Amino acid sequence: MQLATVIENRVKASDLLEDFKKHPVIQGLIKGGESVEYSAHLIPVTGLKVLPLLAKDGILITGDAAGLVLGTGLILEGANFAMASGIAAAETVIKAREKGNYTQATLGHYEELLRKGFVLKELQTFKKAPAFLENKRIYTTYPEMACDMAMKIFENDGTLRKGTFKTLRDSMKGRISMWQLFADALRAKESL
Amino acid sequence: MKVEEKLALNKFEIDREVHITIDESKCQECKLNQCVYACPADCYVFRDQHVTFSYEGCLECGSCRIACDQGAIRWVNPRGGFGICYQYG
Repeated sequence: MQLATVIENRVKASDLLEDFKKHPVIQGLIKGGESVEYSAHLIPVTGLKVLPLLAKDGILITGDAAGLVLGTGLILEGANFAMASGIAAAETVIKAREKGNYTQATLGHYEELLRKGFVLKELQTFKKAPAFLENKRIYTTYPEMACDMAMKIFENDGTLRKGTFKTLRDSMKGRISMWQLFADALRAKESL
Repeated sequence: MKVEEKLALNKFEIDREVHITIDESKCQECKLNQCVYACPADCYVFRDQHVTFSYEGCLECGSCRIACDQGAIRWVNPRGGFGICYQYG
């Protein structure tokens, strides 16, 4: 959940979690389960649009504190980047200790390691994803259209069905223009 | 499951030093009460035309500080060993 979405819609994340648990598909999966702890974390998904602050004199920043989190809508990753950045930070500190120098210049080695490894490469690949995911149609219009189309395609009440493309056009009516759909698809191609 | 039931599962070491302080004069100007929706632990509750606050069940996520558009919330981490003590991560 994005914090901004929670606030804008004036719903509580805790209520959404309870609704989610009541969903017929989820209910079966968690049946007989027991809650052992209740936790909450705020995760910064900023993307690489601005390179996060990684090193300063005497300081290295790792994991989600440095914004090393990848969210593309399909995946939300961070533990892998946290581990890799932790290793890179440790290696950098060992080097700095050998030199007895903990200035930003020496600690800059940390950023080099992240660039060489998968962390900054992956974030680079998906750097446009966070901005793309702010498009509200992804969470409203498109799921509505998908459900509407599925109904029209799979429901058979005896009335004659239309071809799939015509069904798509019907589902788009009042929701989105063909131009807008293409523009979003193009942006998805570039961002994800 | 209610939020208070969930919070009862958690281990807290309540510190006498308060880690969140609210500038209530700013709250009086506030119309949206965004903290109420942002907080997953119901630390902020809208009651009798105003928001009441307690820091005891705080899960230390920091959402309230970002959600508050009045800049009324001062938020620091509790001292080491205090606050929420997650047992499972």
